[in-house]
Amino acid sequence: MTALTMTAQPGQDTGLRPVPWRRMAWVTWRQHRAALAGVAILLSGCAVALGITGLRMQHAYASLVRSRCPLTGALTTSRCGRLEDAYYHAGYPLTGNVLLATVALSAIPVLIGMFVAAPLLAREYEAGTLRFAWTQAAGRTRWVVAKLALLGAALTAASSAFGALVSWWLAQADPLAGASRWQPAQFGLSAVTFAAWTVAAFAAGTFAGALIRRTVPAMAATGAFVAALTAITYQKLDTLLVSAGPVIRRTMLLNLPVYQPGSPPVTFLLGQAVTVSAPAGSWPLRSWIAGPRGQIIGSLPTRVLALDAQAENHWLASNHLGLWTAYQPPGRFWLFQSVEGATGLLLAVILSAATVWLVRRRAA
Amino acid sequence: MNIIETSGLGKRYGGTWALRECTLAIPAGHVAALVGPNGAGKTTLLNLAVGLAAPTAGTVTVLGGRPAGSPAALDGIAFVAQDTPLYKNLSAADMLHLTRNLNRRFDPGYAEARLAELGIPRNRKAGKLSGGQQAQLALTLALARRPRLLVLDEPMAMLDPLARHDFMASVMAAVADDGVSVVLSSHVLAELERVADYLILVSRGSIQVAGEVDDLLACHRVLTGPATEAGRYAERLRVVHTRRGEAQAHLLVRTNGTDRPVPPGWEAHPVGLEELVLAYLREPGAAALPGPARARHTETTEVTT
Repeated sequence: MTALTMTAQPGQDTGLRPVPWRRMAWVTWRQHRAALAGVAILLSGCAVALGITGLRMQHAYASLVRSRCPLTGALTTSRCGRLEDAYYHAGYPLTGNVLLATVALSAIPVLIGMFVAAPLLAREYEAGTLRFAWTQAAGRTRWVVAKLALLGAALTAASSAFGALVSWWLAQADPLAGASRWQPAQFGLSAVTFAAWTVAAFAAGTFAGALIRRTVPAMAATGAFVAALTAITYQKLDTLLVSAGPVIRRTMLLNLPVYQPGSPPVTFLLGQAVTVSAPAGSWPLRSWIAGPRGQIIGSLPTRVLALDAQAENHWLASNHLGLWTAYQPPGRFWLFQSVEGATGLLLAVILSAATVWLVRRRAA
Repeated sequence: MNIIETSGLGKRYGGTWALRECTLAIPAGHVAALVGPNGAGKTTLLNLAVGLAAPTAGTVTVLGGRPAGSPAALDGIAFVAQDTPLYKNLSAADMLHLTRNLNRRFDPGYAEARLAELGIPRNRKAGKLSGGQQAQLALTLALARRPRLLVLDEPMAMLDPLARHDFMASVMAAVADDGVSVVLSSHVLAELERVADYLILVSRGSIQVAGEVDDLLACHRVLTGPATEAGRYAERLRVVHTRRGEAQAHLLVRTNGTDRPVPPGWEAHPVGLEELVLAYLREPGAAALPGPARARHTETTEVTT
């Protein structure tokens, strides 16, 4: 029998220093490195696909800009048509299915919630290992806070970087798809919002695990909750948010613009040839035609716009009609992003606090 | 100093009390056996003592008055739970490192030496170790924390006889070397009889017997005499349990140390620990607790075959 090499120090219980966070970091890393590696593989796999197609689209888009091609599509025989075709194929099959791609990317927080977060506590409850973990000197509060904080921080950093990449990729794909970063599904995929929803999904998963205490039901509950949260965000929150207090101004009809560097200029494409102008990168909500006393005559795009823009503008002016647009200016994009990001972060903080409360209160 | 002290302690799960009105003081420096049938409340009592569960009623303190589950209490107690839960996907070496990082004090030299001594491969995953090796690993992790109190819940339930022997030898070596107090529970008395010097008998959620084994044995006697007279003595003596044969009756009586003269025709024998425990288990109404004797006169009989 090996003798203990240190002697016991009974009675030294005043001013016990807590177990350092650095040690808790090792524990967290050792126990969850497989899950973190899974997240890293998933995100980097997606990142490679997005990176390659994004770079190719960027290159093809630059050719369209250089050639001053109009934003049309479908004229494959012309030089610009061929360039557009090349642009389309540069990101194929993702570019043809931007909506599908955004929905698939939105599922990543769901997966992280289910496979990283839900088993975090549920598996320990199931295996009985909490009886080991929570009777060590570190104590259960420090144990759970360390795991939530460190894994939450790691996931925030990874998802924020990934969200930035997705935003960049969407900026390459949007002109062709006629889509915008303001759209519901895309709005949740920025460096701010994607990170916020990922960390909210993580917090929801750990909370479900602490509440349900069984891995598979906790995973199912997490998947359902986060998917519902995402759907509600896209259906309601995003729409509500970006329609708040739009800028309203009188505008003109423009001829079809050409491809430009940076954010696509357009917004409403009316018919084949005419657009209503709003500043590049903005999000138009609606346009209408008003009479001399401000009464609304009709809303666009109900009017047939077969004439060219100049003649149309002249016709409007001679009839004392004005064309009006309500839109969100580009400068508000990050304001709305931070509002949605704060919402997700607040949800994460509330759920994490509830998890710590459950852990402190409940028996192992 | 009392290593575990409870006062009116109770724990209710849903509508049923797993433990009720439990008042107990286990002094330091003992190997205390917590004995009782399955479902008696042993695990509940231990979970309350190590801070895994919170009491519904009453209080529990450890290591001389520290609230159970407080940082100071967790620091001084090492607990090996039932079925010795370990992280099955971690190697023995990783389990060591994990435990080291979760504690203020840890003696890695001791732990490594013990693993080598036990022949437990450092790099094998805990889940791939034999039941005996898993139990020994869990015990090693607990002892390397240099606790003042070691709490073991049914530590040997899954072990074969040889592994049980080795496990208890490890525990007793730690007691001899480091003076650690031990509280261990079991529903099998035989494995504790050789090692325990303090006994707590739990039955149906309450403490039935508590005391040093030597004291308990000293204040109980078995009286053997004619079966026809058994009923008469049962009224005069503190009889815990009567075992009746065809001609003879065996009365387990509580003498409280004062050896009264044995009635003519009767013989007095010292009692064994197992016999004592079995007698109390068969008489859930009887109790032997410190302080005013609460043993009741009972006349339930059992016919030996």
